[in-house]
Amino acid sequence: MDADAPSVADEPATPRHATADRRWWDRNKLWLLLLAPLLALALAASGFRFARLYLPWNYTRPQVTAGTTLTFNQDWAYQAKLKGHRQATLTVVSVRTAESEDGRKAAPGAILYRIELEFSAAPDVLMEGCKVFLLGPDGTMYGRGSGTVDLPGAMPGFSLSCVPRDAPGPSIDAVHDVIKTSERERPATWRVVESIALPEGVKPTQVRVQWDPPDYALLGVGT
Amino acid sequence: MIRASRETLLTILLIVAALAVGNVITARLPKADEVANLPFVHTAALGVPVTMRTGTFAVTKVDASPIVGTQLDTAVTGGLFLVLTVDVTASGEPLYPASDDLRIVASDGREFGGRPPVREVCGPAQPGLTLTCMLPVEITPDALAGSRLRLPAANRDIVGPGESEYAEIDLGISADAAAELAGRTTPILLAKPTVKGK
Amino acid sequence: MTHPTPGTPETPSGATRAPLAEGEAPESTPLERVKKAYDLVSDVVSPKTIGIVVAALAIIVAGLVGGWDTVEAVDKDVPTVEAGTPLATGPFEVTLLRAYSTDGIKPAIYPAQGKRYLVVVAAIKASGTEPQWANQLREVITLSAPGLDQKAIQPTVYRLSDGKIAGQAQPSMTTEVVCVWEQRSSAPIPPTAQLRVDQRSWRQSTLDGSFYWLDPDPIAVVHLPITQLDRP
Repeated sequence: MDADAPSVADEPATPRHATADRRWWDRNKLWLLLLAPLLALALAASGFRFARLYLPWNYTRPQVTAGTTLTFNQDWAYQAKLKGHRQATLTVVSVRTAESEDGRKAAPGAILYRIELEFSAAPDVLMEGCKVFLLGPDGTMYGRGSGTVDLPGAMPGFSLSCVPRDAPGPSIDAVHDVIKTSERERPATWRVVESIALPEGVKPTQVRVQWDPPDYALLGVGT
Repeated sequence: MIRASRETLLTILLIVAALAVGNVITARLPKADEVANLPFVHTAALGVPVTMRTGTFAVTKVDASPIVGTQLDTAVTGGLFLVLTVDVTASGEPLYPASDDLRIVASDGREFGGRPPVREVCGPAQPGLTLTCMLPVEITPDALAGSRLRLPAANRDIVGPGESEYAEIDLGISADAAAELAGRTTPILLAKPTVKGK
Repeated sequence: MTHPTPGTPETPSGATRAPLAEGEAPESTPLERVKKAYDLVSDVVSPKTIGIVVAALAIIVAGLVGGWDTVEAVDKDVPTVEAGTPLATGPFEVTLLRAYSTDGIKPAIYPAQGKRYLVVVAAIKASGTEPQWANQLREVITLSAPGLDQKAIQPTVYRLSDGKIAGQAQPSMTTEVVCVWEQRSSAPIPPTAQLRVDQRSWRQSTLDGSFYWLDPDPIAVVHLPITQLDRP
């Protein structure tokens, strides 16, 4: 290229610096556009360390009501094999202190509370395996199996019955990995009773009911 | 054949030197992982309560015997069972203390512990109510003197990093006390966990 | 590079010679002959190409004579040791002591239809400074006997002192344990228990980066005479 020979057809000279930059954008346009998605993919690929943050293994999604009735909705999955949806209306009937319940009384320094709940669900909804807690004013969770003393001669139940014993409805058969259902159809509505011991001086302010993570229900204790 | 000019050669040498120096520096600087994994250690002594994020813990008594048992079951060892009486007050939510993950650490670094052959399951401890448990640990008598309890704040999660917060509690066992403990033969009955009244 | 044009052969002294008569072969040194041969193909073949062809031929020939065949793991001679010899296996030091066969020893080993139990008593001591799960004995001891279910997770390890399932073996402390294998009772009771002891290394798995006892390497074979107990 002979730079010394001016010609009428020449373009006006542009600064060399700007020309080089523009060409760089142009030359690499595709990869620049891909840069953001690729970065996102790289971050996701290293995301195994944060598995506990994004996998639904903790109870992180409360469904809350200040009242005593809540319609609770969640999807559940059993390992990777079975899945379903749970829709139920949960009602706190009463939360009262009690001398004893189900063969247990409060240990010294504790007060026993009897929680009566009403569950209402279609007969084909899996309702087994619930847990019930009482929450104190500061959000501390109190659960069953602690702070109680067995009454002499009594045979306290081992775990909470979330469904009627004689007609539990669907349950998971872990041996064959299927859902099996009881012969008697479960009634549309039934009562569940739990007993939890709280330290003296702590008043329960909320009832927490949960099945599978990450969803759980928070209801008020009523009057 | 590549005709390496002097500049190319120099560039290559400089790059290699820079990499080597960088390697040495990064090897000596603390890594983010190491810092993030530094444990949170609370030191305490026998009888002194230690507060961790999951609750408050105190070792109130130390006993020993070659035979320990529950109402249903008995275990015998050729060494010794060190039985710790521990007071647990959970905070925030009910807690099963890490009775299988705790370790008795001897002064020479040997660690003893794990799931004992008999146990009374300690827990759940209700927040605000102190639960007293008896925890046996199988150990050799020569490891008793100067040993300490390393108690993790919680049981190890199945997924995720190991527990990084723990209490190191000096059990205060002198050489004489160790000899006396090693000589005990009375079988120890592990009491069921009980709630301590106020 | 210039090539001498054919037709004017030059002797090393530089003097030219008379043109060749028909049928007369030139007298040339071996080096000249090679150079001439090279000259014939030098437009197609460069030193680099020759190198590649030679390497390829070497690889092919090596394959033809079996150089690329899978190498069988060298079946080294595993020494036979006496019962009572302590063996360093990695997680523990293991000493194999005695072997029995029995239909069941209550309460730990329950008699069952069609089953017989082969029992090996061993002393283990966790190496290192931490407790080691006693059931890791499954990874370092292998029993050869007829009628064993190869897919079952065996053996079950119990403590000899109290019959409880063995949990962790403590460091610096020797614990006597009882390893129990289930055998079909239709199979014969072997006269000796043939046990192969492997050593494993604590290393990081290339699959998931966690540490395991990996790379079993046989270090000894022990023959324990089997005493029949039959105390249901």
